[in-house]
Amino acid sequence: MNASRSTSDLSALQLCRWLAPYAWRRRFELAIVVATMLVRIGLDLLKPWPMVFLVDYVLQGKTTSAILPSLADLLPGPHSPGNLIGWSVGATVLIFLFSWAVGVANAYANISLGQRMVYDLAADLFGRLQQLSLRFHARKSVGDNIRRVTADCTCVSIIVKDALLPLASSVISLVAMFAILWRIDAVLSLLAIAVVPYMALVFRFYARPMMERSYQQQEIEGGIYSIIEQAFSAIPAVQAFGREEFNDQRFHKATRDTLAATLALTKTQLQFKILIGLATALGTAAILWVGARHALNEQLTIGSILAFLSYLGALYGPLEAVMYSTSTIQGAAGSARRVREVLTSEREVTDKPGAEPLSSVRGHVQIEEVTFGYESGRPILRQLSLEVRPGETVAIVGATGAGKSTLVSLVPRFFDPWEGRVRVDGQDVRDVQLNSLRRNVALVLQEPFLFPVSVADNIAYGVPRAAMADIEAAARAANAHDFIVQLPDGYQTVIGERGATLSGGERQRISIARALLKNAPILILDEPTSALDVETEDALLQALDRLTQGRATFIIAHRLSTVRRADLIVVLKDGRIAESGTHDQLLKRGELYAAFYQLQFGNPPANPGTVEDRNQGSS
Amino acid sequence: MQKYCRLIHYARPHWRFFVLIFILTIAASVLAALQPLPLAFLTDHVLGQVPLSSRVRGFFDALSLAPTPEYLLGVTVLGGLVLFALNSVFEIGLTWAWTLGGRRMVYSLAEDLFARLQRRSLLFHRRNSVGDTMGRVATDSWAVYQVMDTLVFAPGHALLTTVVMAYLMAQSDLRLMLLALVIAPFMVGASFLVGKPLRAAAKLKREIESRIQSHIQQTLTGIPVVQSFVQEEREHQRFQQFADAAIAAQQRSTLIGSLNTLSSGLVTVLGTGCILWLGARHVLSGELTIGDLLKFLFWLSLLQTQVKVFAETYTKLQGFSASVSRVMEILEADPEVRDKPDAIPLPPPRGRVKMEEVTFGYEAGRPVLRGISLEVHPSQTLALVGATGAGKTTLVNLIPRFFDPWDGRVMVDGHDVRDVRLRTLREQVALVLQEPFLFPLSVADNIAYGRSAASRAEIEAAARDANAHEFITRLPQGYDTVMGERGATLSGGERQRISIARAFLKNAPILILDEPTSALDAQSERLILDALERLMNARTTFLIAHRLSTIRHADCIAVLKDGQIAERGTHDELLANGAWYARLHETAFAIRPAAARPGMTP
Repeated sequence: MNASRSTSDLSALQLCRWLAPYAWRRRFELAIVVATMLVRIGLDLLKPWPMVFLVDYVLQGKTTSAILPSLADLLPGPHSPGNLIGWSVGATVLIFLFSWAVGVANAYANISLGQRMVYDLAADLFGRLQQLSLRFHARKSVGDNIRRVTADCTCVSIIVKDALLPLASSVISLVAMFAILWRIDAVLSLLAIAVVPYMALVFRFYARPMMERSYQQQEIEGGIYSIIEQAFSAIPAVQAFGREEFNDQRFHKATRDTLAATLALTKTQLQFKILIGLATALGTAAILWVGARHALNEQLTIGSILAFLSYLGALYGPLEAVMYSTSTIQGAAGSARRVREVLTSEREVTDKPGAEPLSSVRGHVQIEEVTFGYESGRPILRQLSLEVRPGETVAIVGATGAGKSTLVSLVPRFFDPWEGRVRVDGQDVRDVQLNSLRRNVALVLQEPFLFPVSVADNIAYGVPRAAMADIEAAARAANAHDFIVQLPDGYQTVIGERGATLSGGERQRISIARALLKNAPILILDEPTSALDVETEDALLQALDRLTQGRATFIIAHRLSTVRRADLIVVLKDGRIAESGTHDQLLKRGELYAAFYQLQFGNPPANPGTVEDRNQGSS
Repeated sequence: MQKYCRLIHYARPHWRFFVLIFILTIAASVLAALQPLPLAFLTDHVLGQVPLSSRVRGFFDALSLAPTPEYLLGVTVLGGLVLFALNSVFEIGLTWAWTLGGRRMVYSLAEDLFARLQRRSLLFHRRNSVGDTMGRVATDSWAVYQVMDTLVFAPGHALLTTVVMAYLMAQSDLRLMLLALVIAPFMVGASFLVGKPLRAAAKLKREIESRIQSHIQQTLTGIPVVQSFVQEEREHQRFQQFADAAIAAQQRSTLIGSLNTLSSGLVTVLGTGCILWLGARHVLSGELTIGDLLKFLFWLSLLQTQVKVFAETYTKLQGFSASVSRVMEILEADPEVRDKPDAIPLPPPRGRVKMEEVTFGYEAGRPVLRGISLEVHPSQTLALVGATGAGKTTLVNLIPRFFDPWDGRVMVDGHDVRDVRLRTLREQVALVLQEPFLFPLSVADNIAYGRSAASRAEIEAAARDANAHEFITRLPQGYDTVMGERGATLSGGERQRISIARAFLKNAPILILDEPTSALDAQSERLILDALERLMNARTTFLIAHRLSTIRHADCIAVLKDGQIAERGTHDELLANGAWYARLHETAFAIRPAAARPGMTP
């Protein structure tokens, strides 16, 4: 699935349209940013004039208009140069001071706005990631997705803060300044803005290459994150097999590749930068040339030239900054692409429009003629049909890879079958609301997947507001209560990452307690006891007995001791049901199931307790 | 301070880049100070009536040109463009040098961190999440770049520029220059007051970001549970909470920084006012030309920039000092389990493993193993049984030295494992664990994980031994099929068989099997056990299993209970004992009276 191709041509317009809602969500902060920006522009317009007054009128006694002498008359105090200097300086100081303060406020508001938008996007992305199917997660690396949420989401802030806002500021400044400059010297003002179209041209030419290179660079850099994540997630294997050096080398190669990609990007960016800088340099040179000639012809004063240069600085500066941050912006566009990739990923399993919650749940599950596989063309289940009535237990056995886990994954709709359908209480699961369906299905998997929160919170994972009494009851029923109270903080003990500080059996018992507390009418047990010793398994089987009472249960197990109590046992082979029946019936048939039984226990014992399996040579 | 010096150490191999950067920085500093000259020249000599200096006259005479306003104008504009060109060249050079040299430096550090972190004991990795580790390697490593930039070059550049400007200013008007220099230090404002609060805010922010990463990692890793328990909404809310905390931390940081900037701005502007006032008076009195005044104003603003750099140095330092600490934490720590200085390579062991009074636990004060002693002779099989959590896995983890015991010692062929080189020890021990830990490499590469030089024939042989060959050949690209993350697209049993093939291929004399068949159906288990039997024949094996069928033929069975060996002996001896093992045996093979229907408790 390469969704990146579909969003590869992310035009600037599309990008802005995608980002607009995020800016709008924070319109209060946005308003402050815009307001401070406008005030600052206004102040920038005022800035040079006290200096012009000083240089032209006070120091040289030149005027080109009548305004200046009348202004001088307005000011209190003697009409002496010294006094006027004082006023000029005072005005300059005041304007600069205000400008500075507003600038700081603007920067603060900018950062505030940026951060909030970033986290809004990150939260949305995270939410979407959680909803995507298990197939998506099997294919994409967790490390890469982490990077999308943490690093790539900053794109929204960069684009608004470093591109859109400065651009808007520049445009407004441009218009305002042009209006003023035109009144001073038309030719010069035209020269001043002639630079802008040239800049736009250069930008258009370089935009695409920079974006491509930036995207590539980020993809390659993502490889670094992946390697780190893989190495440390599997660190026991890495250490056991002495592969630290191998990983070191892989890491080294990844950094080298990233460096090469970065240099390629930098090269393009530098070319761009120089060309833009050339624009401003030539522009300023032209202004000086023409302006000086006009000044020599008495058309212009030095002060006016200074005003021009001051406005140009206020204009070119931000424009240049936008151009330079184009590289960052391209980078952000690359990030945006990566974020959108996930946000626009098709949710394979979604609610149909108008889906109703599951109405009745007695727990009658019908699987009808389903065909499914993870990769097209490789079906794992072939036209399989199975029915479990409320309160019944169906055990599924078969060789590894026969499709047992896949089959039961269809019940809580982790996937949708290619053909056929799954019905709960007569309703096709695709017609009901996903959440309502899943609330009625409890899972106990091979891998318990506990979270780094307290034991109590883990048990109450599906029922956040459960009472402590209920939690303890569930723990007792799962035979977990005894070891939990022995933990340092009892039920409030926080479990290490992935439940690392508990043994496999303890983790599994908490996972069973979790399923017990959920109290769902449909239960799926996927090899719940395979990691446990016989003594614990026995205790657990008691708990499971309590758990399965009155619930429609699917149980996958290798331990035939777990399986033999089922109401119905089905044997899966090559994606189909090869045999089905009760334990005794299947033993009598003497085929697949009977073979399994022999492998595990030897010949069906005549006398309980004297199992002879030496013949089978199992050790 | 020391920690920054240690960090700068990473820049040393890249000294050539930094020399280049140094030279370019000097040049850029000088160039920066020369910026206002064209305009001042224009103002004074072209538009104004100030006579040219003798040097400039001489220049024009040499070119036999008359110094008319037009020519002077031409020279001025040309001068401006030359300055631009030079500036561009320096800019290119600096960017290139920082990108190439700077990144190389960062990656050196990152590689070092990565290597060190890989060699830390499993104890460390239990305590530190993968997300946290990732942050250190990928993000915190950039601290060295920031240190070089912020601590070394930025202040250096600023200092140089200041010096050049001071010189030029003194040429024009000494009094004014002195005034400027007096004002300059105060433009720093209140920077030194904000140090501690900034540091605290930065550290907090970093911690929150790390927690966010962890949260994402854990949720996405456990996504089946999240989805089946319909907790997406709640996890989403938790994310929001983290986000809000992060924003609050950032706001705090920014606020402190803003107040700082504001205070320095106040001084700066007032200072400019003073210079302007005094300068204008000097112009009126003829001591200074307008061009000179313009130059001074430009230089003052440039001076402000330099001073700001100095002030920001401290602030920025607070910003990344948290990263520096996290990096140093790793650089300065020694791996818990490492080679002694005089460690010898382990001579090819015959495989006698002995444990003497070994005591160990994960948390101080809570020992999991208490004074365990056992001995296994070469080629013997020791089976470990016991209730879950009794310490079986912990015990066998001591053999390849994943941890060192608190008391007692582990010996292989009479050598304390702490005395031999780690790499040689681990080469002689093969593990098959509960969790297979496969990698997103090809199936063949996964099997050959411990022996990359293995031939395809050897790989296939190992796969056959592990009963994996059949299903592998059915995969889309057979042995070259690349596995999904953590082998996600294969079933549990298939993954475990690949992991077993991997152990087969390693061909080590000591074998540790930690519940190798718990995830397999009876048929797979049957065939694996066949192969394992063959494998265990000439090897010392530690076997942890729940299936009694697996362990009954072990040479010795040890029952672990509460961290100690409760019983020890052969299967028959233990049965005769009538204690824990015997009870276990009964439980496993007892046939319940009539298949229990739901509702009937056995």
